[in-house]
Amino acid sequence: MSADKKLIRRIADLSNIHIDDDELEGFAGDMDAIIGYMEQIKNIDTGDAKPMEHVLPVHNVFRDDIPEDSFEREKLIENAPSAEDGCFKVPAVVEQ
Amino acid sequence: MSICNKTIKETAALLRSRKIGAVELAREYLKEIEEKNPSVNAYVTVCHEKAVKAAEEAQKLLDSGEEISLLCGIPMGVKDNICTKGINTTCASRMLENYKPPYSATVYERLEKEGAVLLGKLNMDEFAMGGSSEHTVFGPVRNPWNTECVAGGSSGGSAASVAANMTTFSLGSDTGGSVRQPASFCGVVGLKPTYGRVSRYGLIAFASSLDQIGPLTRDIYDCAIVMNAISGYDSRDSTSVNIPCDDYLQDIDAGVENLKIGLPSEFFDTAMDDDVREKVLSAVQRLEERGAVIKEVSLPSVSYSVPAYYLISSSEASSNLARYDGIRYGYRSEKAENISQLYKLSRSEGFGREVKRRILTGTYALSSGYHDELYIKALKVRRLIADDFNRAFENFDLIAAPVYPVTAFRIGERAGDPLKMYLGDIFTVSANLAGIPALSVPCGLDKKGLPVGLQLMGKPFSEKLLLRAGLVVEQETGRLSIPCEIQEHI
Repeated sequence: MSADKKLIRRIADLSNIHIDDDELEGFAGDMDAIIGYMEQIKNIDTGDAKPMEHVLPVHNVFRDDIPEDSFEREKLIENAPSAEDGCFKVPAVVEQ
Repeated sequence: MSICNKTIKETAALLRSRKIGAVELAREYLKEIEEKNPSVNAYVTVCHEKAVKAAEEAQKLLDSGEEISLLCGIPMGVKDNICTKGINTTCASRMLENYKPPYSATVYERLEKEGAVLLGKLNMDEFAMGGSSEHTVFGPVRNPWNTECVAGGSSGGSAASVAANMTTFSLGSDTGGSVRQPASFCGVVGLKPTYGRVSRYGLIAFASSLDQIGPLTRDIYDCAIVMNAISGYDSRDSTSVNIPCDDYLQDIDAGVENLKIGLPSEFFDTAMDDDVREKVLSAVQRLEERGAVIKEVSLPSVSYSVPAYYLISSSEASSNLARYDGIRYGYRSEKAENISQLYKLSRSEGFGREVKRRILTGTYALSSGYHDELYIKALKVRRLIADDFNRAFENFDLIAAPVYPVTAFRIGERAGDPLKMYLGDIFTVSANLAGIPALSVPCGLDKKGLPVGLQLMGKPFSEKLLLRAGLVVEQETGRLSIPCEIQEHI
């Protein structure tokens, strides 16, 4: 499968990334080479090997439920690009 | 002679014998940074006041007469993807240009507690994606051995700052070679620990199943000192392994007699610079002369490690980086008129091109119709690679290989060809896929006068053995330091 502009648009959309029209061609070229190379993996005979998500046996880690200090609200809000009255501020989510 | 070219061990001795004070030492380094950073570009933030204050505290500890860490009063630099409370942590990205973490990474907390003095935060490839430290919003890091060349990446600032005497040691992170390759390019020691040995709490995630924090130091002994401080269980990292740590300094000089070291034929059959091959094989020969038993070993699946690595790491990255939405922290586009545009434009303007390429690759590999044949297939190949290493370690104590096929290349030379950059990672990515520890130790200079690194890999939790063998290489080939005439012109 080669990466054409249509495909780049589709995955950019899934990734929530806007790509300008004049950048599309460049991305399509890069991605065509990258995906083309990665696709060789399809031809490898992996037999009955089980997928390995993690090198360690990952298990749920529990701790005792002890109350402790959390982050300071003001410090967290300070990093927000837009805030008001101690809340994150966003554009309208529901269309009028 | 500057004080700033000393190892941790040497500097700790000077601090203890009061030949220098911690504050004076910090000021010397800050001066060095001021002089050299305009040409090396290793630091993106310099903590002048905080460093002096931390040094004053360290001096109090030194004066107290109590038993203190070797790291007390020792200057350090930290890669800018490791959170430092209240100090900008940018990942060299426009996305996090103004981000001040409300908490510190465990590794930084531990070093701070031992009295190490933070000089500043170090430049890198954006979100640790890259092998040249050119993909950064702050401009490329320059290799102090030759400022026309890259410092390697993604921990380029971490390696360059140690090589240029702008810190005594530094921390980097290694997802596919990002500590080892810049260490090799800059002639310093770099270690990627076993997955789970060093806490990832506070390391801004790139690919969570592969990321590890590791030290970059002037020599092997220093690497052991830093490992002693940063290793160990941390309840705040769910993948932290709760088994006791070795004392990495103990028996570090026990040598390599009768150790079995394997040379993977698949690696040595790969195209690489003649100089790299010669220096690496000559270091291996020195190990043999010191009593190691050297034999060829086959790791048949490592040839597929690059596609497997890029599919897995990009898939994890596309998921990890989904958190950057321009709302709670990070860059927000001013052009957005609705919530959907806010996400799309903030991410488009906040991320650089390489980060976008990785997110797109990962999203593609995880998308409906491709998930099984790309992402899941890559995970199966990962299993085969890990099995190869397991089999090899039934007969061998260590595996020796090059770190990178070439020495430091010129800035801009490879920037336009992302696939070519990826292919260079052939020797380093398999250690991350298998979760095993891997060390890069300098083993000589090529004909251009640029450093070459030897890579040693071992079983999980065999860092101590890696350092032992690394010390022999260091003793035999000599520590690399930048000649004075170059050092003076940086």
